[in-house]
Amino acid sequence: MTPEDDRDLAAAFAELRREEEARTPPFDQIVRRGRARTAHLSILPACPLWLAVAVALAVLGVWLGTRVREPRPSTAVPPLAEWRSPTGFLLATPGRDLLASPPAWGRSVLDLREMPLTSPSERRPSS
Amino acid sequence: MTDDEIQRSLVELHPASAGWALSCCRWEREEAEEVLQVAYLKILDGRARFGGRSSFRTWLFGVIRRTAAEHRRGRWLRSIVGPQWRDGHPGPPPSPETRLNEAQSGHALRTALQGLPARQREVLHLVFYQEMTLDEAARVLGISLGSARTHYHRGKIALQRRLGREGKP
Repeated sequence: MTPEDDRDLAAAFAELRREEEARTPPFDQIVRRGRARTAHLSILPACPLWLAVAVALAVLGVWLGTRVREPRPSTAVPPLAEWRSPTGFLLATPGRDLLASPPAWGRSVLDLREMPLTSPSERRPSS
Repeated sequence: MTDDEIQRSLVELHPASAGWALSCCRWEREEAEEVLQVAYLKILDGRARFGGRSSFRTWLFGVIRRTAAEHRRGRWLRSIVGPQWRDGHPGPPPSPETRLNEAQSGHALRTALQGLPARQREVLHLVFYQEMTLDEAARVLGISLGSARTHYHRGKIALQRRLGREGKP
């Protein structure tokens, strides 16, 4: 960019400014139109906003109402005594019966070999 | 500043303000006038107060620039809500009168400026059209002097290229 280019640009901008200034409406007119427009808009712009808020609230209310009134699916709850934990089998470790009872005098170590590894109810029938 | 002094300054700077509003609105005349109306009313009604930290012109141009940005956001929101809820003012397409005027004046410079990035256009407008220093332009735009200088140089090159391609005004 040379100083000449700058001068050309400045001249072009000056011409544009002269044109624009000739077309600019007077200050009073701008303010008057602005006041008139504000008075007009003071009623109008709130309408879409309030309408949108009202519609949103109505939709939310209907949605919440239908959610609350929806019948819950009836599921048969088993009695507490019959309830078994789904992971209860993990507690059936080998030798649980041995460890569950206190040690007794007079029992041979050989007896331990014959102790069942699992409880009789959990023992599978051998083929 | 008293209310009378503010009003007098606004009247005095009105042609320059109108030019700046046009630049902020990419030469959409209806939009620029709306922006100017809102900015003037903000100042006259005391919603925007001059703190004296800069010159009145710098502050005024800042108000106009912010108002133009708010106006753009508002227009975007209205376009989302729906065209039927617009406030009766024409949107982006210029009126036939505007188009006729533009065609009559036929400024390659205006067209070339419209194609520039906003920052470059604003800096060039402030420096060449408003005859501000780069420091003043930087203050109006709220950017550093170095940044303004970069936009100024890049903008000049881009503008010259565009004017060279489209014919000098």
